[in-house]
Amino acid sequence: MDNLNANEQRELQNRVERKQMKEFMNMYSNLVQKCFEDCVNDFTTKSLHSKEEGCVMRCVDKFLKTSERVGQRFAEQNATMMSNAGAGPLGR
Amino acid sequence: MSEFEKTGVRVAVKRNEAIPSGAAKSCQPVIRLKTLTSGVGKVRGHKNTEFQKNGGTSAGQTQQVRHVMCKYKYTKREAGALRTLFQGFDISLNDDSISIDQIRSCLMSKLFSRALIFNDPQFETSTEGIPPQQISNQKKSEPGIPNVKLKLPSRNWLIFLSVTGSFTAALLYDRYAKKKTQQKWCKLVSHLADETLDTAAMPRKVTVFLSAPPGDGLSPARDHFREYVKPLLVAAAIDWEVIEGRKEGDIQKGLAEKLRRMRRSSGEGDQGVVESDDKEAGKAAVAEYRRTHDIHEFGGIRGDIVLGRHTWKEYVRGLHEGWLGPVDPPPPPPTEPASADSNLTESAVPEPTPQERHSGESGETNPLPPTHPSDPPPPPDPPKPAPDILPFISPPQYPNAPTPLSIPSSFDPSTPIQFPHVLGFLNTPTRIYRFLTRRYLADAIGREVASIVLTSGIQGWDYQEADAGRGASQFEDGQAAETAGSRAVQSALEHEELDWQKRIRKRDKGQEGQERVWLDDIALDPRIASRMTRFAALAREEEERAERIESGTEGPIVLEKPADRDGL
Repeated sequence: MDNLNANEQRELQNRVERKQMKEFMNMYSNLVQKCFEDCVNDFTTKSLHSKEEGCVMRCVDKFLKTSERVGQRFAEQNATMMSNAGAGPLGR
Repeated sequence: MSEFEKTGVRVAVKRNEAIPSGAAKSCQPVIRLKTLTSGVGKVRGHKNTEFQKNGGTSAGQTQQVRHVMCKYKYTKREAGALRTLFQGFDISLNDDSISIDQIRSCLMSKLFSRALIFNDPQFETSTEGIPPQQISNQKKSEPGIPNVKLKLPSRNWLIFLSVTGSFTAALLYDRYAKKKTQQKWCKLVSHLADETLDTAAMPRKVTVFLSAPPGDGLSPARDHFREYVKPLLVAAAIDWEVIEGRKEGDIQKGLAEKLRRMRRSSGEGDQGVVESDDKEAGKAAVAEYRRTHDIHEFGGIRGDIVLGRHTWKEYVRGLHEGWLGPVDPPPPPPTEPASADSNLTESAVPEPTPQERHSGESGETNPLPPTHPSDPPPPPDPPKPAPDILPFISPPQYPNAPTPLSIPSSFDPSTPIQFPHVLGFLNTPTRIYRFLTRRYLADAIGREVASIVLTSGIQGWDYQEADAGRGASQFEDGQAAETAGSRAVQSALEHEELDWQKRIRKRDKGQEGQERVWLDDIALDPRIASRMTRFAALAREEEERAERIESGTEGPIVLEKPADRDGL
């Protein structure tokens, strides 16, 4: 990574950003799709029922909190592996 | 006709012919035969069969006679066999020659092929002019009502069926009742699982201690935990951490190590010690990550679940070793006998070689300073414990041990959970009894674990029902309460020791002086005993709620949904 010149660095950064954006959009559309299918079941009116709205709120909440929690656990796992990789040669 | 009904086998033989007069051989057209066990006949055996014509000889001689009754006498044995075999059957024979042998073979074959049962009047009217063979076939094809008699199976069958049947029934009922009981306790605590938990918070975590029961492997202990304890923890969404022991002393070591680590992290002992264990290093890394990201552990009461008497003994020993023993490994006794108790020295005598080798290695590879100003016992050992490392402190040394600064005023509450486990062929009756009454075990353990999960209160081990009025002052009650508490700790699950094999309860030759955690009485230091706590028994209202859940009048507590609370 260090042996790239400025142009290449920028290019790389761009690509990474685009990829991240894509991933985020993917997640977002997944979330919308899932919660819409689960919660919205009345098409006689264009507004959301209070029941549907509550459901959507809960659904989004659940999704976000789950991913947050899972993310934390992954980060912890990562930290464990890093520490093992670092302490391994010294410890043995 | 009624006469035939009463007595046994009847055979109808049909043939449209006039009956020639006289001889028994000519008694052909339609013959009914019945067996007799007693009668006029003097003759015996099938050669000497006596036929009698129905309605008198004159009629039979002169007219077309369709039915002739032939009585013939079998031997007693034949008659008995035939009667039992062929009772109530009517048989049609279509043979010209009417020797008794033929009748008999015909009878046999017809009966064995489930021949038709029919009455002669019907037979006579419906089969006018039809060739005999055809009649026979026709009659055969009609389904009749077989005269099957209901009766009990034989004596041996009855014995076999009743024994296997009652065992199966007992087993099925027990498992059914056990399942219901477990569901009851799970429903009692299931509302805890519905509580919302902040994303930055970790759930409550209890510690489970399980070790291989004496004389057996680890898997029965694991199965016991999985069968009786785990369902409740899962139903209440409680996390757990297991400390496992494969052999005697593992739990003690594991717990003591955990406590020493805790003490070291709060500033005791040699701070220069680096965690060499991968697992521990990983745990430290996770703790660090959680600290920086503000993820907080559960702040309430945790609790220790100890499975079985043997584990309980090790647990108590481990508590003492962890809190009263030095944080850093003591010097090996052979090199510095002055610092060690005589008991410890004696116990260490059988294995001096690894210790010496160990200390030699440490001198080469880890040049730590021999003394530390903060800690009286010098720790020349490397932090990595040797596989056969001795306990850091032995029971006789308890009173002289210094009280650590970081010792809390009370420890995490601990609950010994019963773990009945008996081995041996001769104990088969006991084992079968326990196998068939697991519902009671499930109920008792369910109540214990539910009290842990719901945590209605914490009390010292010296707490007794009579003390209830005196409240929290039990710790100051002095000697009496203290000894009561010690007794309660020492005698917890004591009956399980009776199940242990003799082999386990016998000390190895030449090692009589050595410490055996499973065999020695539980030695308690007042400082530790007074700090040990346990969970209060299940509150009465919870007990009543459990009863209502069991009877089906009430379900588990349903928490309000957060959205409903917001009024959405």
